[in-house]
Amino acid sequence: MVIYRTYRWLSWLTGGLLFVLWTIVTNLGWVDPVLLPSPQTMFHTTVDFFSNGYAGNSALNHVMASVFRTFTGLAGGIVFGIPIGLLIGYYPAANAVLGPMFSFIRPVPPIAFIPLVILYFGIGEFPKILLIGTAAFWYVVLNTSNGVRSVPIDLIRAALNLGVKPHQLVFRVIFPAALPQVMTGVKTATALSWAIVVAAELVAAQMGLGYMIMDAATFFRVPYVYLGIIIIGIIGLALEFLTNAIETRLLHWRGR
Amino acid sequence: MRSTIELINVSQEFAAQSSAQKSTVALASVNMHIDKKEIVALVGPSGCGKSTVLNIIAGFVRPTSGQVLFDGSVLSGIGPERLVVFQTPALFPWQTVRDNVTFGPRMRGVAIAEYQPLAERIIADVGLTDFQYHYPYQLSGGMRQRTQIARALVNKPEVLLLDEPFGALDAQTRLEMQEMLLGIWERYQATILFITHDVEEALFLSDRMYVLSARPGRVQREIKVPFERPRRYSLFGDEAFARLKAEILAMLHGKPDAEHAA
Repeated sequence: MVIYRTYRWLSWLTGGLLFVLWTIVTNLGWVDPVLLPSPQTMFHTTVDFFSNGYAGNSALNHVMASVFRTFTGLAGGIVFGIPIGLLIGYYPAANAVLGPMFSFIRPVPPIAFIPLVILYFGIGEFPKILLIGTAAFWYVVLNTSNGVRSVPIDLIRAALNLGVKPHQLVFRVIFPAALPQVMTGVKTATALSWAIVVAAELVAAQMGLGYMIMDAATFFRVPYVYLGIIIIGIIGLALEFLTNAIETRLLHWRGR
Repeated sequence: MRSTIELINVSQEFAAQSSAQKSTVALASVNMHIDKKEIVALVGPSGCGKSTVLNIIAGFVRPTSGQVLFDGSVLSGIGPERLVVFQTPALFPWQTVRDNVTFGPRMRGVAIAEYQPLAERIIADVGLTDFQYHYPYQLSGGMRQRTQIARALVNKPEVLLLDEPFGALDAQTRLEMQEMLLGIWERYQATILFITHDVEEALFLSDRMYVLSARPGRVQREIKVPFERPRRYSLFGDEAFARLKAEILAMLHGKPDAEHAA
């Protein structure tokens, strides 16, 4: 194992310097306070947001609206993506049928579909969840099928040699062996879902963090725009920590 | 006595994978047999089709022509009565040693009461009791091979097929493993076919050995290994041992007259 210094203090120093710089330029009036609020303003806005909410909904409601959409869509994408990924990874014929279509749709930015899903399904919860679900689906399918295809032949032979039945081969050998790659897909999908929910809420929503920053920008409540961005960043970071923690726990044997 | 495994005129040709390749004849009319409770070694230059022989007996590949008999009847497919110990340990990395070892009986629905005591005894016999709750990545190369051997033995196979099992191990560990394999063979009355590129290892372990020629592989010679059992490492210093070893090495390096010697 490579032993290296983390220089963590440098990270703290950078953050601290940025904060000091921000305080100086805003308090000395070097920038327009409408465009960049001071730390004091941000503090008051945060307190106000968490005690009084925004536009008739509590802070918790806004946060949970976004989180709920993300997790529901993500769960759908994973639940459908893993079996389809196993299928097209295992059967070349299934890959021939579905693969090209998937390869065509996957690179299209999910937000390009927002006008279509609004046209089809309106602006309720379902179209947003659908959008997130499908985007997550492509990445879970891609990584799962790649994972299945890269299971070492000797591992499959060993299992067959020991007398596994076909369903045991898939669920007791191929799936766990492909799990590291499945997890990579889930992590990518999670990060992507969080980005899409915000984009979808920017366009059409009455609640959620994306809605809040769009609405706040429209009515020139710039501190709320910043606050929304900060909360989105923090939750995105938390999601990454969460998926990494699941990965380390579940896949302690990975790559060794 | 009927042989456990018999290969009759077995040939194997691999089709070309692209227009730039030619098809490869891996084996040409191979005849060999492995009798019950025998240890047979398969040696030959690399690329001579040793592993192909093993894959055919395991049922992983079907020979292009010829016949393979198992206990006198035509061999069909893959089965736990002929178990392979892979060169690079094919252990399930998400399972502990113990779960790897009991994988076969668990998947086939054997009752716990039936395989548990056997599994525990075998884990002890290969010296892994203290490591049974470890994962493969926590084990040394030698321990991984012990796990593979234990995973095979639990299924009471009629034949153990070992593909250069100790090739990747250091000299010290290899000696330990050879000794362990002989112990296992005595205790479990196994029939063993193993591939090796190490002539000394072949002579030390086997009752008989087949020397394959370079591609296309055919049986160049069958050698009955005359040394008495139980064998000790002192055998390595024996004059007859050294002479036989030199003779086989000459054969492997393609001296044309070696084929007719002795």
